[in-house]
Amino acid sequence: MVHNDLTKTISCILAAVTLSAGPGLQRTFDLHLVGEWIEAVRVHQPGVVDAPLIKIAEMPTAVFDEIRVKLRAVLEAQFTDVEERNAILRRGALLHTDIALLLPQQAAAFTKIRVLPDSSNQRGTAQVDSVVLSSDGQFAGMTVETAHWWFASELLKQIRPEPGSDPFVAAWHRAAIAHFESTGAFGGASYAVPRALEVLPNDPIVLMYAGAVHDVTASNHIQSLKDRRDLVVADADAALKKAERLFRRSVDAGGPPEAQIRLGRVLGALGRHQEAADVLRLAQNRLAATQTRLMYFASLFLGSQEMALGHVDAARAQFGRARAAIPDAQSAIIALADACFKAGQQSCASDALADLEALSFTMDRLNDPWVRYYVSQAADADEQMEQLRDSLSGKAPR
Amino acid sequence: MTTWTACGVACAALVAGFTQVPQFRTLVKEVRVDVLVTNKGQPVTGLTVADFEVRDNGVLQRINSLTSEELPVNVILVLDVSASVEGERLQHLRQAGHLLLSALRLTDQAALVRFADTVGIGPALTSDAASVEAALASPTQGSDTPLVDAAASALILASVSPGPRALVLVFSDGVEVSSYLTRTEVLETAKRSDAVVYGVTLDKSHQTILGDLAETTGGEVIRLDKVNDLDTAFARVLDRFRHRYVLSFTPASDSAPGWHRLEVRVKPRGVKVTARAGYFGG
Repeated sequence: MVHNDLTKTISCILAAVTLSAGPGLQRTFDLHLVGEWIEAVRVHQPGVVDAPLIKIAEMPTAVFDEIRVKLRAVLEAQFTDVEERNAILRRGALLHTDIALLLPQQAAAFTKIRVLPDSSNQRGTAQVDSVVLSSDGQFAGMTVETAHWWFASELLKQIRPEPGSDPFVAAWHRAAIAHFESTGAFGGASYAVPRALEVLPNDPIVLMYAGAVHDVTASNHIQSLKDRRDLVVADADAALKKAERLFRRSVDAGGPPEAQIRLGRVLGALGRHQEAADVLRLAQNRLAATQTRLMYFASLFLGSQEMALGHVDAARAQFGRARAAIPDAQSAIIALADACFKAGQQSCASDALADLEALSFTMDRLNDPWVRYYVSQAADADEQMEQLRDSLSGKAPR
Repeated sequence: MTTWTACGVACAALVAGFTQVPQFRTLVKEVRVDVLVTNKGQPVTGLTVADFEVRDNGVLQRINSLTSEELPVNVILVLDVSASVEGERLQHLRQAGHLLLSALRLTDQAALVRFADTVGIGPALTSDAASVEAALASPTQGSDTPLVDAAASALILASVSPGPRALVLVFSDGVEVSSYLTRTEVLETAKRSDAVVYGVTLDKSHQTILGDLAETTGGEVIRLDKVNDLDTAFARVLDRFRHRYVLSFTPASDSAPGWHRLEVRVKPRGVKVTARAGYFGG
């Protein structure tokens, strides 16, 4: 998958693939391979392309399924202490994360279609994590997400006593989703989010990220693909309502002001302007002066709600606050010009357009937070991943 | 082959998303309506006031004046210069701009609004066509298509600038993806503008925003089959625009605020009339 901000991906469950497992898949489990895997996990230095990482990345992918199923028994035999077993599972998850991130070519060879849900089954059903690629709102192809992310999450499900109460598990799921969302890879995010919610149903950050997946689904980035008959694109209104529910759950679970701001914007998009304005005002009051990106969003969105409610002066004031937060961001200038024009305030509209003209040749698109609205909730994805690696930089148990 | 498509009923403005429609009072002294009359796709010329009938919310109005080709035109070129227009397309786009600017009269003015990652205005309305041409030739970059933001900026620019009539000529070969303003918002802006939107596109998809803007303002959408058709498309739009009529009437002093539905008819049979759907009263 191409990961850059010009490429947006969406989830598209294309087909459930039924696998008829032949006798060849009923192999004798090779404990030696699991031993090699555990040793590689132990010595791999997080974030580094080292020999153990390459060794595991180049293993036959069928091995991973066997490891997934048999690992618990092997670990219980080898380690008496639960925390030692957990440590191997955490490091294993990070090793497979590193394969996905640092060795994408090798990672691409491992897809879920090769994995049986349970190796004891002769027949099973597996789905590939298919994603659609789009650029500039137009279809750009399809690909399959590597299964290393899924495999890492499967390892973390074995953490005891409860994976949901393990700080590393929460940090890993947050970092994994943030990685996808920050790069515009919402197809990957749409698979990572349910896996996270399965173990962390009330995590405010995961809930905010989950809302963001549906929020972007309602946007033109994704809705523009509806013309293609071979793609199933969720209805924008339904997606907004899902986003609303998830952002609200995030706020209720103590989520950050950003979740509240996104909730407010979504409510506005659903036409519930008064409710949106109330939520955005609350969020705005929670912000510190240094949170300029969020102040810009809160003020810009609140200005739009005030405008929809017919409060022109309040709208102008909010667009002014957005401009004060980030002076050369054009969305607030265009919104202000539009508000003034609709209110019959022509000189104000002219002044705003003059400001836009003055900025036109020096403007950097990234100065306008709106340009990165759908990905900026996860702007700290790299930091999250680094912190995750740092947390395991100590020695692994023997 | 070039297909000239007048926007139909199917691309009506989308306003259903708003639960509350804010009312802003503006004083309406005289209403100008830009009208295209065609017969089998070709403009019909030589009509007089006596040939027209205008109804404001169903009430027949007295037409104050009817003018046509002699009025100066403010042309706002709104050009998609995103990555999808690089190379050969960009060359044809610049040639189209050049031919349009060459066809302007001394009393006409032009402005340029370009959009890719951002919306850039420059120059604003000027009678110096060379400065617009120079801006057309300057390099741009970006991959997004904030078509709605660009169209709104152009409509506002056209409306706040002095001049008897304005043509907003929008070229885009992409799909709207990144604007802050919504489709509903820009259509509300279009309703408040006297400008006429002509859309020119190479896009074969079922994109309706250009059609909606044209429908709202009484303009047209021109779908080009080949990139080579772009060269002359803008100048042809200008020529077609000059063959439109501008009629004016003064609504009753107690004209209700809010949206006024307009109906324009002409007496000759078998012709098609294209005009804005209405205006906001004050």
